[in-house]
Amino acid sequence: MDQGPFNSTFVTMIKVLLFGAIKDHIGSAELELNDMDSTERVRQHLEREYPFISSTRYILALNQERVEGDRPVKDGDEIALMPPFAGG
Amino acid sequence: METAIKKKPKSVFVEGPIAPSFLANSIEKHATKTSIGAHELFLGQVREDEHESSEAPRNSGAKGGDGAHTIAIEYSAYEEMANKEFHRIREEAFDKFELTCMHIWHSLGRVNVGELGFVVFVSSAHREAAFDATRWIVEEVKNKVPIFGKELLSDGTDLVKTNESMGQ
Repeated sequence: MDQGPFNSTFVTMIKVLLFGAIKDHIGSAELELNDMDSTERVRQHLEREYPFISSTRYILALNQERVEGDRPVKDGDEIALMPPFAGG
Repeated sequence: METAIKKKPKSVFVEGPIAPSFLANSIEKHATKTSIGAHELFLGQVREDEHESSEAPRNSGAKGGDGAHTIAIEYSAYEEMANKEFHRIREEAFDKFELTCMHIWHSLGRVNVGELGFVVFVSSAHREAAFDATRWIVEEVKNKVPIFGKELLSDGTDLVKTNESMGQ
């Protein structure tokens, strides 16, 4: 294991914000997850915990920017699951 | 990139419906901006839709929405990201179009049928920029801003509201 400030045993904690029908279904506006190193891992974790998510349409945002595909995630990052928009 | 606009952030979100009198007041305030030759105003009003029994409302135990109609929309948003998007849209609009002023307002919370939930107010020296900018801004808001909707129906149930389901 590495020593020093970027020790590979450092636990990453991220916030997952939920909106719209996803938030209503899960019953919470915010989740905290540990040990997630990528957006794909977050997706897979959420789909295991809440199976309805795999059949729900949503877009992922990472630190308030929409993302496609897999992105690395670090401690303190904020992910959002956004169902289809209805504004305007 | 040099822009002539002020950097002070404009507040976009409004709790509840946007009052027409508020808009009249805003128009009046622009009388002193004497370089303006044209205003364009887009008003999004909550429309009453009929929901037949073709599919049961998602959040109810009722068997089909037989004759249920819209009574309101409840808007929510990923506010921090939405405000960033509104800011980006504003900056881009001033870059793309010759505008003097622009304002966007969007409701959060409940807006009843017949009330206004979204307003884009654009001013320019000449009308072409006002027409073009307004349409561009409206489409950008609909496509890019994380705002979510729940449609409340007359039978006490609710439906997920999305822009795709609005059948433009």
